[in-house]
Amino acid sequence: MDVSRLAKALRRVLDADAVITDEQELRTYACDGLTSHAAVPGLAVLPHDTEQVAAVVRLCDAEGIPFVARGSGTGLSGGALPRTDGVLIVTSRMRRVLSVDVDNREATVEPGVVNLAVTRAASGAGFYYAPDPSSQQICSIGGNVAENSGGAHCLKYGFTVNHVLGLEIVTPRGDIAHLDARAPGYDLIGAFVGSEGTLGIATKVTVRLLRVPSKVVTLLAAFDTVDAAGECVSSVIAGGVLPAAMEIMDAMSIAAAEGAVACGYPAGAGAVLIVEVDGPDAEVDAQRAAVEGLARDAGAFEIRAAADAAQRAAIWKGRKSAFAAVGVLSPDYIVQDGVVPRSALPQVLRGIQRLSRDSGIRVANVFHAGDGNLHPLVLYDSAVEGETQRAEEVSGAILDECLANGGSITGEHGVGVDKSRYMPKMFSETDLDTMQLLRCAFDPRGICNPGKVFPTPRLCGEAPGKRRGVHPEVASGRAELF
Amino acid sequence: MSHETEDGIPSRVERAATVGEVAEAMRHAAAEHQAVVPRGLGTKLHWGSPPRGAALVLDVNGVNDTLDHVPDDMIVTASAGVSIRDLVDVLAEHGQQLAIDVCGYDDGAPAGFGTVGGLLSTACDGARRWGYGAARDLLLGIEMVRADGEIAHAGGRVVKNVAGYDLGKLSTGAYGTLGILTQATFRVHPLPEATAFVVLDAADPETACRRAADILDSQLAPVAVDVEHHNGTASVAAMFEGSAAGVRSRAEAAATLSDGEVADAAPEWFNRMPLGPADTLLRVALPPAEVARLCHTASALAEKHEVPSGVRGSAGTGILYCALPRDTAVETVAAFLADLRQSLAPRRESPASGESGGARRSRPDAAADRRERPFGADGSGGGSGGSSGYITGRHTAADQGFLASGGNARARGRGAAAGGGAVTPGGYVTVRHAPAEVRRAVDVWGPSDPGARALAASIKRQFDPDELLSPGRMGEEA
Repeated sequence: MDVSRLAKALRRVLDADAVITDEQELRTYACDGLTSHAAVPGLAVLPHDTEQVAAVVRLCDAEGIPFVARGSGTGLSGGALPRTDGVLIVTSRMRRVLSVDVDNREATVEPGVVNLAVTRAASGAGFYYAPDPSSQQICSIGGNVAENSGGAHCLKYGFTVNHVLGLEIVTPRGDIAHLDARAPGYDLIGAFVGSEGTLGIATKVTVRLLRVPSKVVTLLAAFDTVDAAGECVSSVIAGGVLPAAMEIMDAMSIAAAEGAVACGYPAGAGAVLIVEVDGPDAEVDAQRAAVEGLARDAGAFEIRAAADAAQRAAIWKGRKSAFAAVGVLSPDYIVQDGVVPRSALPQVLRGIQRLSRDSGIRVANVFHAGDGNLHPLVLYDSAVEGETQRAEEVSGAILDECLANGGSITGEHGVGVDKSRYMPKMFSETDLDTMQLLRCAFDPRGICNPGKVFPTPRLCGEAPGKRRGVHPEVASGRAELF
Repeated sequence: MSHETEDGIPSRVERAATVGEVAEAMRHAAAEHQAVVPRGLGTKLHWGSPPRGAALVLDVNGVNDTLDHVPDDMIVTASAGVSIRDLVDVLAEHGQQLAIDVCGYDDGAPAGFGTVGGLLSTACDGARRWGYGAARDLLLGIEMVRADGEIAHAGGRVVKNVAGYDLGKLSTGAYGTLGILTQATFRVHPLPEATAFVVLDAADPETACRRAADILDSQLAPVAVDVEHHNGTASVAAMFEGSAAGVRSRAEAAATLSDGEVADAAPEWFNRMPLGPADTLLRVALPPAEVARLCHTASALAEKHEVPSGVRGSAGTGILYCALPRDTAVETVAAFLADLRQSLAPRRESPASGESGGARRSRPDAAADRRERPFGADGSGGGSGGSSGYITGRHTAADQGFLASGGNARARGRGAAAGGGAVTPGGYVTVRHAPAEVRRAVDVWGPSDPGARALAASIKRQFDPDELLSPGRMGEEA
């Protein structure tokens, strides 16, 4: 069935202005934060509650029409890339903070609620929501759940999945299920969070609230080389200190940040290391002293400490602006997201340097050094013949380098459409087939955000591991391979 | 067809010493249509529901060839058959730890000390879950053998990774019903330089829980805050880890604000499961603000059913235990369990009506929907009919246990739930372990959301369509 014919039925279950069919309006949803992939959705809908989401999904299920959920559209792997033949379900009208339950240290919000709004709602009581992706001022909790978002502080505090206590979801069949971390049975929350919108749509999210730490100290240490900064990170870890965050920027990303926001980092630094320690006063004081000593031992030529929010913001300003700032250096760039074991960082960084040198493509490095999550920024000019392709080759080769060192193709941006082709490099066919058993359990018809995460879909209902002939649903024309 | 004992564990045992042998054994089992119960050291075989119709025990204790600790990366990869004791020792050599408490019992039995595979499969943890998270939070990657004997991996060996579905979390607490875990990689933590406790006794559970909350809501970062209510005494024990100087000052500050005392060692009951491994152990998971209510309920029910009374567990996570002696009559255990479930069910003003959440394919009324549920129904205990009080049917935000906040308990923050009247959040009671005759007679897992149960049943069908992996152990129906 042509998706446009669904509009009439959708208008019966949604508000009149909640079904978007206008081509111009639909174009605004054509891509998420990964602008290199774009597709105008067949239709977009703006439901305002769970029942409406379920009603839309049931219509899609009945007609076999694919659907994609979208929050704020800040994803960096094309996870919310629409289907031209499908419905885009936008959660921007589901923005209510339903409860802030300080007694139980949890809050329940709708999926369109912005990440930072949760912390704002809880801050009066001295609590906050820990996961803090860089886009936290605009990204939605629903998107965070889909992507299992982390953030600068996940080194100590973990990812979204470690903070979700309950989910209300609309399954790909249009059923409503309530997943409760306290309930008996399989860890459905653990399975759902990070499934990149392929197992259903979260319509309510209950998250853990943490007590605001009594003290936060942010240190900025300047080194001559990235290697020296990396050495400091290793010695901090070896010293038994678990900072809230450890971030490294190399000379090129420092230059970009200086150009964009004049962050005023120490002149002449080949690398800066930001270390944030938080917790009870006495522990923070001890950790700060330890980190400062280790930084000096590793060759830091300048160490700054921020003890209040304004000074801390000044240190973070450069780091947080880094992605956008490379626009100063280059008309186009790819933000890569790979992970390596921390101990392999120096080796992998040298590998990236080599790739850059050999290809003539500049690479700026910003990374969450504490957990080995690299964000190489691959700079290129699409106006230069062949440069786009070379940049993509370098970007892909960086992932190969990560995998060769026992790492991962994505630490926090997700697989989406962008990296599904790399999945077979990290996982065997059997591994991927086994993961898709989960997908089949939730989405037997393969209509929920199809084409994401996995390079090839699995037809459901088969015996595990064995594919035989043409699936009856395909043969009968009731299903198609996306 | 099998020589199973009353607890559903077959007497026939096959051993596998490598992942390849596990795979071969499963291929063979699949060809022969023989259901398998995987076993490590066998310390938790009496946990969960008795498996149904299993033909053999597959002993994977010998799959212990890998114990690869990388201190610089703060990770460890271990075969499923590696014993927790060995793992703890290897990590300690480099000043690190797997921050999952393996609890012993009051009677001195160290029964929790099994293998890595058993720890994950039962989602075991203890007091420090408050500070470090549960086993699934520290798990980074797995290797598993599927029901058809294929070997699959998920996750990785790095602390940050979002590539692919997290089958590790799905397998944690799945009691080997979705696959047989053969290897796992964990995030580890530094061993603390120092540890201290704050202990106090209070006149009643409300006071104890209020003081526990004072410590939890302080900025002193306890790694555990447990409570015990036993023989009319309510006690609190809070644990602190960190630097020598820091721990001392934090514990002193916590003692001051809670009217407690600093102690170098935990009280006897701390991080121990009540009674022993052969008794009935009930695991309660509920919103932490309901802990005092649980203490009173358990006391009242103990009096009513003439059984020993007591509750202990985490005031922070809301996971607590109470135990009934092994010689308690089966009917008494069943009645106690049903009453406890009833009392902890989410309460609201009017009962559910109308269609269930999954309206299209469900029965037209909530009671029918309950009869239909694929998991947890055995016709006894609090699960069947309307006796559980568990909410089914079409929900609004405030209806749901986990979603409800309501104006209950201490009105400190902004506690008003949108969209409905006052609702007291619900809790869940599962029978962690019990004598076989008890586990055969009661609903071990208890009621939960019908939509979630339907998904769980669907997952089981996908991963184990021929019911070869401990069928029935998670309470699913045939």
